[in-house]
Amino acid sequence: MSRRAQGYATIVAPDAPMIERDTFTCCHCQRVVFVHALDGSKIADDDQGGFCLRCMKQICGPCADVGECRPFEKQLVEMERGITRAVERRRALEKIGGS
Amino acid sequence: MAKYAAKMQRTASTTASLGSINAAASAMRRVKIYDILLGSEAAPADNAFLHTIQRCTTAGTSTAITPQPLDPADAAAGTVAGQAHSAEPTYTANQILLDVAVNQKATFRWVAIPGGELVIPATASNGIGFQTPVASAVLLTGQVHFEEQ
Repeated sequence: MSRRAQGYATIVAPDAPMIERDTFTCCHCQRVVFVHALDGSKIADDDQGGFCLRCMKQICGPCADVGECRPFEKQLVEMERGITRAVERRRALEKIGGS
Repeated sequence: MAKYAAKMQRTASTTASLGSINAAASAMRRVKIYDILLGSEAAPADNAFLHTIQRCTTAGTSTAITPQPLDPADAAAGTVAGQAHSAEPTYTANQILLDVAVNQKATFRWVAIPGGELVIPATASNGIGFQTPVASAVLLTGQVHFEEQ
């Protein structure tokens, strides 16, 4: 079990013992990564990823391979700002009679 | 910051999504998914399932679900939920958030602590879809709890 787990996953099946795993959410892309158990057992072949020294949070394997800090919160703001700008542009055009 | 529950159900298909949660087309709000439960109520059988949860930029065509507020005093959700897609959402490549392989007899549940949720931006029709790229044609149910910001 991880001290800084951000989630918890369980798999309950009638023919097998319940599987429980901590998870963390990549702070760059939000991928949910299952933390491998200390005994080496896995429920997914997840690369355990890395740690972003700017965000000071865990990141997934593919984001660690990219090697660039792109916090998800910043991506969210950019996505939302993009749509807000498009709405503002459209309203401005409507005001001046454009399309 | 109201919380809602949405239940999605369909006969599993490798080419059609179980369901999706999408931001509204207008008056969007950020959505945080914090609880996902996936399982099958069909007669127990040994079939392999792969559940893939992936970001999408459109909602596709689906049967509408009304998310239920966990607190009855809360207003109706603005977030759009759908199940049993006939036209797929537009999935974003390389933005798979959760991939888990389970037996048909197993039930999978994931719960996030505050700060670990899956966030849907307040951008029209952006959302998260639930797919089963490996499945047998049996009834599948997914239960999602989310919070509107």
